[in-house]
Amino acid sequence: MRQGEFDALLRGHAGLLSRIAASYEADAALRDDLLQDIALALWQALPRWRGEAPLKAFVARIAHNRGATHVVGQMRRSPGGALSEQLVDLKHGPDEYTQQEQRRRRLQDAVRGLPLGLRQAVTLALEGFSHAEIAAALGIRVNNVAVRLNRAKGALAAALGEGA
Amino acid sequence: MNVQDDWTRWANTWQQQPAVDIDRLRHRVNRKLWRMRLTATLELLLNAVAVWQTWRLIAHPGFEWRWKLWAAFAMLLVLVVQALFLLARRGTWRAPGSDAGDLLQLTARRAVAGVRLAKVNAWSLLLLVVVTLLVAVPELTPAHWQHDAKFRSLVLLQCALNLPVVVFGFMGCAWYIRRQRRRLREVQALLRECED
Repeated sequence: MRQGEFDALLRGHAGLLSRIAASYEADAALRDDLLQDIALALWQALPRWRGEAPLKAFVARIAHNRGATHVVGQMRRSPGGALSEQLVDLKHGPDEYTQQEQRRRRLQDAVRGLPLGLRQAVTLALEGFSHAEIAAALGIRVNNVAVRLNRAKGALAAALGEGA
Repeated sequence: MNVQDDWTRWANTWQQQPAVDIDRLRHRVNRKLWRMRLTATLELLLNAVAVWQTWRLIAHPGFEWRWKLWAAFAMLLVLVVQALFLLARRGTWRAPGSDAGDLLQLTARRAVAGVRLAKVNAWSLLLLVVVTLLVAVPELTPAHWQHDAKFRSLVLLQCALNLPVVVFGFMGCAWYIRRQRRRLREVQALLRECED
């Protein structure tokens, strides 16, 4: 793969990659490291892509796989599930931007607190993937996707304090 | 609020996250690629130097046969250890599939292989130390070095250089085994999460 093509691919999927990385790592510096690992994994994997799945799904799959292995070793550091105190304190932010930022971070924390299987399905659902696309990207059955998303919805609503 | 509304609302919030600076990411990736190439080249060079030095010891006419035998043994040991490394790494090169579960299984297999490799390293290091001491016994008798200040300095220098290497070698193996076992437990916990 030429450097130009790889750059274009990274630019085209910058948002998707950033959000998937954020679903695995809260710390900004470690998230940068994870993004670097994801980009390297993409560089190595892309020559094997034959167009059997949409490029976006392929990229998401590689990113999730790298994210899953990143979680190994980080488990003791991040308890998962609990919202950080800083975010709770931001609840009374002065303007709309702060509130939006707070909602975004609360959602990130809630997603990171989900078990791995649910988290992967949820991040793809939030990216607008259909059930069939999620099933293809994660290598599971479509029925299983529906079950996971249903369970994840309850867990997310509870973590966000919205009630299922 | 219905289920679809929840997902739509969350998706809107989710997608507002800032994207990574791609130029910076690309530079970091390029740097890492160069570091990986450099490390591989350096490892190759170090191995070549080690083999060349051992061969020089065998071929040099000034050394006693005991040390030539020791050099041959060391070279054989390196080959045997490398063969054991390859054996322990069977099935750890590539995941059978490409989903997260397959990748985690691969990580678990690598952790198990890592424990085996560290044990092989520790035992081979012990073997090398024992054989080296046995070969060096005649030189280590006090009569041999007591009246030869130059030789005494050489023995002391060898001890000062090699003792920390051996001690840190064993400590490193023990630390690595503990780390890989912890990693294995973490992977197994994640695999259970994946199966849920």
